[in-house]
Amino acid sequence: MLKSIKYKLLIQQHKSRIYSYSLYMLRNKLDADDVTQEVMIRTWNNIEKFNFDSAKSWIMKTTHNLCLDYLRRRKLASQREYVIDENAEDRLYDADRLKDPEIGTRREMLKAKIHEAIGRLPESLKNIFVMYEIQGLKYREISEILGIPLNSVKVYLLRARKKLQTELKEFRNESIETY
Amino acid sequence: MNQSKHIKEELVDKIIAAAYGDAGILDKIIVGFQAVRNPEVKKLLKDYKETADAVHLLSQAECPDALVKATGDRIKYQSKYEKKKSPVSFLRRPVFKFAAAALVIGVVSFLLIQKPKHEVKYSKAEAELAEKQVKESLAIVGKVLRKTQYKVTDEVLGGQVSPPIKKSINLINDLFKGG
Repeated sequence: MLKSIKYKLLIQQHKSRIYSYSLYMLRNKLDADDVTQEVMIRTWNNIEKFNFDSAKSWIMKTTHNLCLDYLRRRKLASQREYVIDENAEDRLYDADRLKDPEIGTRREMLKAKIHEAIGRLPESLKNIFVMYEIQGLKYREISEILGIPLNSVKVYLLRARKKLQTELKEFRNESIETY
Repeated sequence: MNQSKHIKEELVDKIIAAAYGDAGILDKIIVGFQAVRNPEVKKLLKDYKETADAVHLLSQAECPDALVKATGDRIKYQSKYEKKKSPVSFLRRPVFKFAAAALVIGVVSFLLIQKPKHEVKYSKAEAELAEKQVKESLAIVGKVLRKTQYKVTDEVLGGQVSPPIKKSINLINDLFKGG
């Protein structure tokens, strides 16, 4: 009974964090669904091993490791077969929407571009950027989850921000010409 | 980045931190001061700030409720199945395994140590009868053996085997003499 209550509270608190992180890392809804489900099951199976304070770190660590597993598997699979881009249709839709001057504002366009640019960041930078900027985790928490020194977290974050800016440079130049 | 070509790397880092809202008060003052004096710094700060604002507007993707429900059902089923599968699962514990092994070893040792201690006593008449039966059996065997010996020595060797051999030897002798 207690186990069930604890599980429900934890999932309620962290479900979107798990899902969102998986989605950013894997860029595929089905894989993000799978990872989220697997993390929830593992949380249930290991719920007695951690308390509420350490749960966030444990859950994010598990999510991160599972995402890495998926990416590794995907890498292996892509060496053998053609990749089907499941998000292509969504991107087309987004592009159409963004072309519409009534809906698309510069900020919205920038947001969409940022979303895309984050996806293109190298994994080692992307995970830290997403954890810090989107998930709102602290340096210490990220350091604990990824098992790297605190200073490395800061360095990687800075690199990610610079890289993102470089990626967006083209977009800025385009939009300056348009406006 | 091209914009930061003439700006020291250290100042670029401070500009980025200020744009993302991480910089300390002193760094913010330095960046603000530099931005007023140097249009290049001002432009860089503006670009990074624009990106940072857009990044901070990115929200976490909401985890679908259906996914949480499906996982909950799966966990429920899994727990139910495990309970159903092994009502005596406690017997799988090492302590029970050890106890079972010790019990088996104990029973086997007891049976080996405890030899049956019963002596059979026969009456005199029974002993005499047994002796008589043994003698009769031996007499029958002796009779058969004697009969066999007679058959071999008198009938087989003497009557049927010896004459043809003797005849053959005589024939060979004749041949030698003749040659």
